[in-house]
Amino acid sequence: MYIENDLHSQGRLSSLRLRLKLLLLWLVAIDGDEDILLKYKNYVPMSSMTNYIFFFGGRVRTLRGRRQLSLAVLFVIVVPVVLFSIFETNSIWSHGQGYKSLVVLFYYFWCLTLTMFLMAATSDPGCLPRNLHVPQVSRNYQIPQEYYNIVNLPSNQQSLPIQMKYCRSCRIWRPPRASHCSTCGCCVMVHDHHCVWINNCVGQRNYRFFVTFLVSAVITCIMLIANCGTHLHRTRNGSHGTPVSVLLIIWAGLSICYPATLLAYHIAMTGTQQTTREYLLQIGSKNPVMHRIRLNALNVYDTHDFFKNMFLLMAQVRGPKLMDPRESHPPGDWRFVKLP
Amino acid sequence: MSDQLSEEEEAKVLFFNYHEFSETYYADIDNPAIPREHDESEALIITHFPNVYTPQNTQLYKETRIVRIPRRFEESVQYPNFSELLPGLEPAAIINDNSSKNDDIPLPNKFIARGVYDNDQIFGTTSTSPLSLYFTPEQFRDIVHGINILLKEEYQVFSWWNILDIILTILTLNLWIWLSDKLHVRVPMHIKKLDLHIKQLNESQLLASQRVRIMHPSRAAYLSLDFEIPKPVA
Repeated sequence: MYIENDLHSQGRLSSLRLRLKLLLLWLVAIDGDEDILLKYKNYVPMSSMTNYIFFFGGRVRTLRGRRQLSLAVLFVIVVPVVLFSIFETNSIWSHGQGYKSLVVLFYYFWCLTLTMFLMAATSDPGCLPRNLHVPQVSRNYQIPQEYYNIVNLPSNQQSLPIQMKYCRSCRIWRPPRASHCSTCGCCVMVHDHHCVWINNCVGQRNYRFFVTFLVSAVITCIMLIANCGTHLHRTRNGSHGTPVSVLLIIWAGLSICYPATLLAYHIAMTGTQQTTREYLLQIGSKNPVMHRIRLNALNVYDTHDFFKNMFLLMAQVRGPKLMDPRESHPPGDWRFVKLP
Repeated sequence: MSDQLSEEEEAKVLFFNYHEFSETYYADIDNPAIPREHDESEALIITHFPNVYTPQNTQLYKETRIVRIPRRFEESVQYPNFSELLPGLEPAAIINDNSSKNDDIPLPNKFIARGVYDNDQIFGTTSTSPLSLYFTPEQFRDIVHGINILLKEEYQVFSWWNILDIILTILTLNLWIWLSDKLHVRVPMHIKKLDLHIKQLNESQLLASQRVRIMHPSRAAYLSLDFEIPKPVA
C-alpha cells in the first residue's frame, strides 16, 4: 500500500528504476536501505538491526560477514547423491526387489536431510523483537539501575529461583533460557547455541529441524554405506569394477562422524534437560569435548525423567514467529527504532 | 521452631513486578515544573511506561500508557504464564505510602499520584499502578487467568497437535509446513481461541468503556502482558 502511493507520485523513468531497486531488495536485503520505500516491510529494518541477510522478500535468511560454512555442508550433502545417481542407482535397482527399497530409503532420508538442513539454516530460530520494554523516554531513554540486576523470581520448585535478565541491547526482559546472540544480533528464545555450520542460531523455533537434520544425516550415511556395500558385494570384479562405490563408502564413513557425535551430545543434554549453552556454562568451558554430561542439581527445568526431558526439549512448541520479516509495520514502529 | 520458620521465610524468594523501578529526582505533584532530589523513602515507583505499540508521533501515543504485567513461574516453567495479581498486591510489592502525614488516608490498593517524571507523566510512591483505577483485584485475576489457561494450551508439548505436526513434517519432507500455511491450518485451534478471547475482552463493556486495551501476548513476544490505559491525570 505504502509502495503504491509513492509509485504514483514518481515519474515513469524513476518508477522503473525504483521497481528494479525494489526487486533487488526483495531478492537480497543486506543492511536495508532506509530510503527505499519498502522500509515498511519488516525484513528491511531487520536486516540493518540484526546481522541477518534476507532473500526473496524475507522468506530465507542467513548471516552476513561470516564464513559461509553452510555452503560447505551443502556441498557435502549434495555431492554423494549426484555420484550415487549417476553410477550406482541403476545397477542396484536392477539387482532385484529387496534392493529397490534400499535405494528408495536412501533417497527419502537424503531428501529429509537436505530439507531439514535448509529449514534449520534459513528459518527463524526464535528472534525476539526489540524495544518492547523501554523503561522511559526522558533522559535519553536511560536504563535505570534496577534493570542492571539479575532478578530472582520464585519458580515451581521452592529452592530453585528463576533468574531474569534485562537485555540492554534489545531493551527487553528476556524470558528464561533466552539469550542474546552477538553473532546474529538478536535475543533468541530457548537459545541452544549458535551453529557455524548452519550459519544460524539454534533456538526454540528451529531446534526440531536441527535434531531431525542430525538424525536423518546419520541414517542417510548408513543407507549410503548399505547401498554401496551391496553394490560391491554383488559385483564380480569387486572394488576394481566399482571405484565410485568405494569412494562413496569412504565419503559416508567420514561424514557420519560429526553429526553422530553431535547427536549423541544432544541426546545426553536434552535427557538431562540442558541446552548446549546451559551445559557449557555448567562445565565452564567453551569446548564440550572430553567433558562428561552430568545432571545439574540446580536445574529447575529437570523433570527427572530422561525421555520426558528429551521430548520436552526436542519437540518444544515452535510458537508463532515473534518477528515476522514478511509482515508490514507503520513508519516509526518502536521495534525498529535505533535507541541511543 | 518458629525461629526456623521465620528464617526459611526470609530466605524464600518473593515475587514482584520486575518492570518497576524507583526514581528520586522528580517534581512534586503540587509543583510540577520544578524537579528536585527526594529522600529514598519518597522515591517514585515507575509503574506505567511509554506505549511502544504505536509510533511516537501518533495521538494514541500521547494519550496512552502501558502497564506491564510480568511473567511468573510458580505454576510452571514450561509455558508462558502471567501474574494474576493486580500490580501492588504482589508479595514483594512496595507499599510503604507516606500519605498518613498528609491526613488523607488512602484507599487500599488505589493509585495515588505523588510526583511528575518522564515527560509530564504522573506516578505514585507505591507499586500500585493506575490499572487499579480500572479493575478490582478479582476482575483483574479473572482476565489474566483466562489468558493464562489459553497460553498453557498453546504451549503444551505433549499435545496431539504438536506431535501430529512433527510427524507430518517428517513424513512429507517439510511440505506440510508450507501446505498447512497455505491451507490456513498452520494456526492451530488454541491460538485462534486466544486471538478471539483477546478480541472479545477488548470489546467487552469492562474494558471498552474505560478505554483499556490488552495487547495480544504474541505482539509482546509473550514477555509481558501489556495493558494499554489512558494517560493518568492528576
